[in-house]
Amino acid sequence: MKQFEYADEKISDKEIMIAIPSMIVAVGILTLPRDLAENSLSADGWIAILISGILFCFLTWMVAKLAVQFPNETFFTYASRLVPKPVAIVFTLLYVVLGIMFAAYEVRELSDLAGNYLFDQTPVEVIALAFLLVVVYGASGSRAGIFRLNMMFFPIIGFIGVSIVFFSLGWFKVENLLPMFETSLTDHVETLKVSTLSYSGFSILLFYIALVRQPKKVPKMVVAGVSIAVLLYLILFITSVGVFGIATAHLIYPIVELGKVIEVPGGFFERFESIFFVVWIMAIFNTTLMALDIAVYGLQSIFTRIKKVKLLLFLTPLIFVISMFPQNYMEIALLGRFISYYELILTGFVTTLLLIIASRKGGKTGG
Amino acid sequence: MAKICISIYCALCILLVGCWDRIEIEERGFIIGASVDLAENHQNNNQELMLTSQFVVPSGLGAPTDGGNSSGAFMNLSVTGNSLFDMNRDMAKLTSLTPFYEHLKVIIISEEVVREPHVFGNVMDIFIRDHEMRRGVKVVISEGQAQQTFDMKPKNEDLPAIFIESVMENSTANANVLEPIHLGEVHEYLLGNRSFVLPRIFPLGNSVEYEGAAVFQGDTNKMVGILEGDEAKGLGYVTKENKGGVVKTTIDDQIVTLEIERSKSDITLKNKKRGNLKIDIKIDMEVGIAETFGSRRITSPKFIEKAEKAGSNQIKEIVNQTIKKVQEQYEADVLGIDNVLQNEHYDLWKEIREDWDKGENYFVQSTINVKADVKVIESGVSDKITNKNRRDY
Repeated sequence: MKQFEYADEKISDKEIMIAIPSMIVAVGILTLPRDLAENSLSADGWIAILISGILFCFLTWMVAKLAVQFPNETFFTYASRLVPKPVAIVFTLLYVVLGIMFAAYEVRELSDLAGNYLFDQTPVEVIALAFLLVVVYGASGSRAGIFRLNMMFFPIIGFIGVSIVFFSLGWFKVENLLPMFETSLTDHVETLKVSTLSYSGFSILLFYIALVRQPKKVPKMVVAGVSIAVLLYLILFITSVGVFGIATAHLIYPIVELGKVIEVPGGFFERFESIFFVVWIMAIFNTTLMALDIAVYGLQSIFTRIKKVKLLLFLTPLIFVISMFPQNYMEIALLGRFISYYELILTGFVTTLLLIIASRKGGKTGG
Repeated sequence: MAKICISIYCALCILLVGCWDRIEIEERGFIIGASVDLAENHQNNNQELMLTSQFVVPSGLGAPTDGGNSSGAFMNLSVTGNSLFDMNRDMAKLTSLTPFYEHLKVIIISEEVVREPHVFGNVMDIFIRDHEMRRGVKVVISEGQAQQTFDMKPKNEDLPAIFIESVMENSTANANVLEPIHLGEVHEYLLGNRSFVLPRIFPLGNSVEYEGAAVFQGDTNKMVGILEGDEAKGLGYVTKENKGGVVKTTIDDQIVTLEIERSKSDITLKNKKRGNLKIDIKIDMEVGIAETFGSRRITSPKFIEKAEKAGSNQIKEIVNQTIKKVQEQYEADVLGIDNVLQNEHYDLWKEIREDWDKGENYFVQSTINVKADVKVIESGVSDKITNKNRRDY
């Protein structure tokens, strides 16, 4: 088994921009309209999406600001320059854990979704394993290849997202969006909490900015990347409320149902959801791939001598077992929430800490 | 490395041996219509339902040149029980095919089933919940046995369910029929506890008539009555926008038929006095003169004015009749006033929501005022068809 070696493992800043929405957009959006509509009246949830979107734009910008100060250095390298090495190791390991859990969660959500809609009889374990093996294959190759895959898949994902909106306009009822601005403040806060959970994945930047050839423009680029995800979320949310009205809050996967209502007369697009599933699995694949790769990358930076394939052989069974751990739908959702909070707190803490230290140290060397 | 290769190949063998969910297309029983009736031998209070599914028999469809195919293009199977899902599984025992609902077009429910409170919601549950069902399936109420409609042999269609669907699709230019209601909308009605109407069909031998509306009380989702003929027309004038239809009126004892080109209805709340809410329904219509009896030149301003007035009065009268019925007899707001209240007067709506067409019944206590404004914008391609006075111009 020979691995093809690419000339260099560098990526452009455009590739990192696309990597952000590729990472963020996955299974979260499929259930997001329901979670938002549960606590807000009609389409008022868009406010929460927007506010949390701005919040995450700021957070990613902060992460990027930190990482670009150390061009072409991995997270572990620059972290150990700023904090004692054992602390840097702990930080990196915490991110490895995040990557593992993230990948496990995505694998499980995907297999449940596919089991629900596509494979009635196939055991969830088998779907999960089949999917995971493909992800592992992706991760075992070149890292820059992952970004090239993102660049290739994301336009297709965006196109399908937009065409779902376009084709369901026939079912869209504007009166479903009324009354506006009648949600109470406490409910808005509740909705905001839910919507912050749907942007998990942005912390891959801490690691991947090291790969960018010229990281100068990266902070701007990643903010643009988050905005793409926010925009996609907004239009998909408003469309599903417009189409389903109050039923949005009671559909398990509103976006999948959106794909199912689409019927272009003539029978050509009667089964739009089959195309939708194919493409959305691509989106979930990208996310899982990057989550797994972060775990590998983190371990690689600490244990520089171990080969990638060996790390993967160790991680894959672990991810599989964790993904099979939740027993039901509720527990999967709980795992998802846990991961989001974990990432938010971890990245918030680590980034702020490192930024403060970096500015102090920077000041010292400068003065 | 060799060991890894071997183990991967072994794993692949497990994964690639076949698909758990493989069903040959010949073995799939494509169901295009489903109907729910009361079972004939239902004992005491235990409600027994009968589910009838219409399967497509592809060989029966044949090529047009095949001529008369005696076997028929469809097959109806009925099962009785009290859980629809269970009945559906039972159905698989009666046929060599696996029931497959993704191509379901129409659900027909017998009136008898939905006259009991909450049964409609229970029956709909499986159709909304199951992932095979699509939210675009049309739901219709049938007078008498629903199953009967699946047995007819329409002249121009092979499949009764498809026939019914086309009838519903094509006759919406009539003011007295409702737009087809889809499963998704039913879900919204049920969740919102709002009163609603569903279209009705009557089996007529080898055809169906699609007319009128079945009125459901939102709180109990029980069918409380029907709107027929002019009553349904009145409902159509209020709830259907830009969907066509006719207004039949008389001018000087001669029938004049106006065809609706464009219509718009506005519901506004005039005061917020609970117990006596004043609600205005304003219907604006642009019509064309489709048919006149007698021999008048219809382009004269005087005639147009007369037609507009007669049309307005006619609409007012019909709508008032409908309002009276839904307010006094059915106590169910199917006019969509609740929507307007919720969307435009949310503060008030929050307070009266629980007492709208139940409890205190503010809906029944409110005064609804109808205004109609008809404008003639078209007269057809000739302004006069017959001549009475034997003038040559």
